[in-house]
Amino acid sequence: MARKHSKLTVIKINGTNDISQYCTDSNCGQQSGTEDNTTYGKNAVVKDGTLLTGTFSCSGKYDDSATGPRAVLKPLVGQTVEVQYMPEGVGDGLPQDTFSAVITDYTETAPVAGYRTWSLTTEPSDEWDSTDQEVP
Amino acid sequence: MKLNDVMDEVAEAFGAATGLNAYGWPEANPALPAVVLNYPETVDYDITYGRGEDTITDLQVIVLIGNPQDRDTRDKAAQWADGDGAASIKALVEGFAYTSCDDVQVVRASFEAGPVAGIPCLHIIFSCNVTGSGRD
Repeated sequence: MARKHSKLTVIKINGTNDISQYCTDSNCGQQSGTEDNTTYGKNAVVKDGTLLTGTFSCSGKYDDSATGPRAVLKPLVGQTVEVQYMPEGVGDGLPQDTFSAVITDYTETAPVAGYRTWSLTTEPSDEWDSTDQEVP
Repeated sequence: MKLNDVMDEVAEAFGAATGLNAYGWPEANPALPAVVLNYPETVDYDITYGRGEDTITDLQVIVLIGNPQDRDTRDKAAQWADGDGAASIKALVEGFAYTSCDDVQVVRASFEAGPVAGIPCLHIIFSCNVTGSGRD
């Protein structure tokens, strides 16, 4: 058992856009709907899982380069993209989540006493592929 | 981002702004009047994922000029410590075209009096924060 530092996280958008070096935070989660199937004779509610869903958001430090968050992510608002989320970095056998997501929000924040920041919100769509990485 | 490259370039920026001899290290016997760099308080790693960004905090740049009890010294110090204007060190140093780092912010100026090699000097201490890539 070993701890994994978040600095190892790698996030790619549409395969080629590695935005990791601009990120300071990210949230990636899967959830399930439930349906109440309680029947007579039970003393507690009985639930079953229904459809899966997910959440993904990230944020970080603004950068003015051609590969930076404004250049890469802002034009994708409203579009469905492929997200590759590698929580332990890139490597053979390391975990990975690959899923489609609609980019619903790209926001920049400019505090007077600090550097400009950005944030991205998405709504994942369809099933996720959580097969471990295969790196030759 | 390499500390020695940053210190040399910040010295160059201060030298250009003041017209003084500029040393990118804590030179023990500077030719007065002069700009002398001291080591920063910290180098902070992993500001973003994937070694994207490091910061150098409180890099001290010491401007050594004339007798602190002279009016001319006060007037020159006031010009350089001005937050804006043609002689403003903050404006000139922050506007310098750096290659060793992404950004230098002059956050404060403080004042001390003390002799250097027996010569009375006003020490104007500029504190700078530097941001740059965490990769070579």
